[in-house]
Amino acid sequence: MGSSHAGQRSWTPYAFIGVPIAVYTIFAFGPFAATLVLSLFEWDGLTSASFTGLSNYIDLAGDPIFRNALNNNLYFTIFYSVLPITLALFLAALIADTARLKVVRVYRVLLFVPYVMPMIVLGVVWRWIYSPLSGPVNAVITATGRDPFPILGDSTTALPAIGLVGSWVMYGFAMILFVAGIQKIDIALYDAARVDGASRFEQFRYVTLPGLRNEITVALVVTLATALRVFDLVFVMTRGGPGRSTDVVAFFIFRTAFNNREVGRGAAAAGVLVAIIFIASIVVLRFRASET
Amino acid sequence: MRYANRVAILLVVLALFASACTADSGDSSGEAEGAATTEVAGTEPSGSEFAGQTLLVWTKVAATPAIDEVYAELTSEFEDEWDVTVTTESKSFDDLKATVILALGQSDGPDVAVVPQGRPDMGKAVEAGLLLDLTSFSNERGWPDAFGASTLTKTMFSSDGVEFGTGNVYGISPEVEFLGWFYNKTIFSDVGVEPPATIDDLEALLATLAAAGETPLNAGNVEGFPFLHTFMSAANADMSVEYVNDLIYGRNDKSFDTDATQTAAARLVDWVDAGYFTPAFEGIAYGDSIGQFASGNGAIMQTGTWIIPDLDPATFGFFLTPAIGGGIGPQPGATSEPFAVRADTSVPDLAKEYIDWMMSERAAELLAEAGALTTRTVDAPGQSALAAEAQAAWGLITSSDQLGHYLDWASPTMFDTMVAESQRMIAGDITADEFVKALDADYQAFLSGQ
Repeated sequence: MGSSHAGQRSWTPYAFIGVPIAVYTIFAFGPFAATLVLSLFEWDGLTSASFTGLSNYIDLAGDPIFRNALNNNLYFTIFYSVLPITLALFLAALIADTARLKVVRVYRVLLFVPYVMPMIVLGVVWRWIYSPLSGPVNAVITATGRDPFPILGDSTTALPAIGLVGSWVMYGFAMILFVAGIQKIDIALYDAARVDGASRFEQFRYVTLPGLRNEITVALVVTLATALRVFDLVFVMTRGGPGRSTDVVAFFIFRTAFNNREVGRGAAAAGVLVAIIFIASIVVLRFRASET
Repeated sequence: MRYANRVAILLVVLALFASACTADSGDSSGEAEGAATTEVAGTEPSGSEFAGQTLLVWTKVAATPAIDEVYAELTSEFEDEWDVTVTTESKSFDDLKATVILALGQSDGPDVAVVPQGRPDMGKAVEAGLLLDLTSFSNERGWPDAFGASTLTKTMFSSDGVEFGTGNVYGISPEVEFLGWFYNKTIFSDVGVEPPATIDDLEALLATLAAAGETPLNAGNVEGFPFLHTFMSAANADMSVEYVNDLIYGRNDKSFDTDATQTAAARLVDWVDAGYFTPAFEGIAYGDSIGQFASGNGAIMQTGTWIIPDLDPATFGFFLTPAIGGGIGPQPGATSEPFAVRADTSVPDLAKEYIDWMMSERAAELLAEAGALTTRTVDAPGQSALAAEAQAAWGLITSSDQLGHYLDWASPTMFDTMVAESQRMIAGDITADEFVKALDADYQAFLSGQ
């Protein structure tokens, strides 16, 4: 972060900060505040709204469809956060010595491709990969003499199948962070560790891992938030089905507010989602702070 | 970690959330280009009272470019006839559904707009006073006689928007869509079978096709609605028109738990168990399943007439859902999303004229020639054999007064409930009886809130 010299006060930095804050207020905080206000009303989006206090939130607490969607989001945190970060850390450890090689740059670009592609496109591609008609996964299944399997149409496989796409995308993102982070670690630390007789695991445990603390925090916050607000993949791949086995909160909000025109209820669900993302982020940051 | 870092990360989280909340509605608007006018239809006087006026129209992107061209040509002829300027903005269905009702509340909103049907959209717009009552105009121009009273009731609401299927007329479309059964003539002749006359015939037909090693029913049900369409067709066919009307319009305390729905659901479960549907159809996307069928896989596909442009008219035939005792029962269907007029438009008469122009005989002829199925039945020599067969079926539905309903119109949440519960039924998680009871629970909850 920038350095500050005690005693010198200039308003210039505030002016620079002011612009993004103004933009944020208009495009993020404003709509967010409006959403919170709406969540206290019963409103169809057209006719006059009636104030209902917290009743939208109380209804949601007792709504099994909403709770199911929320559970699925929590399930996704394993696929979007835990799995890719663990895998990326493991691979980062493997390439720790070589992270400064030029070839890593190419590797970095390749890893980042899924992350920059629109989720809608990835959803269409993976829907094909899982398709019983011509998809490669089912080609393997049928090649072994078994019947084609409806991966996205079976309630036991649909959720993990979408989750794995999330893992694939998020693993690339985490890997980028970690590879960049490793390059910042002083190579002398590894040399010193080796001189002290540290094994590869010990080098990872005592040099790489502490050196990547900031990157792990960022990866956790971003991937958790992504897992909790999944929409596109579910919409393209399963529409929340079969049954409600892949329903998620963001899709619940979309259906409630725009299809069923229960805007207040949808806004309340959005409020709950934001609160959960906030709490998850604060927990991660607190944990990080307590480590330092 | 520094406080500033934490704030920065929280801001990132907020930004992510904000981007999640912002629906990206790809605006596919484009102005209709005037095609050269070769012929002017209509009996209205020209050099008109509307000269110099302008009209803003929001339409839905048509099923095929050829049909879009017909609308452009008809619009151009309308401009010449009345000496007016029409600006057309063409939108995808999802775009329309998300924006049109709000736009109708704006003073610079469209004068004429395609409005999605049913309570949550058109009903809400009526309730909010956003649509012009077209009842007297419709009678004056003879719409009820020309298009069938049951066609019009689907765009009728009481003026407070509460009662559906009765009261004032708020819109109409020159095109129709309905459900039925497409079949592969080559496979039928290879196996030596004919389209069925009764529902028992249909069951026997499916068994024969399966025994011959064919996939009897081509399907893809990832999205959930395709299987629902089969259920709705089977259930409608066993109901009376009066019953299904009452059910959808929320009249006379009807129930979803009936012999017709029970029988239809049980029948479909039997078909799933017998393996009549495409293997692993639960995991196949609807669009992919149409491609499969068009390329010759599967003997029959039960779906809507909107797939006609995808099929080779020489290879495929069409039949309606047969009733138990033969003949036809109610068939789910409706006009396409209807044109309606914004209540506060400054040019109400011109707007109404525009809709009537699109409902004219000439419009129907051009649309039919371009491959559309039309609300007004006309002779169209250039129509494909398959489209002609489906158009004849529409004629039979309206002339025998057997226009049924998409059952998910019964309540704002019914589509959602039906999709989720039917997929659970297919998976064997719930029985046909539990499925029907779940639909009725949704319906009764809606009725009690009315």
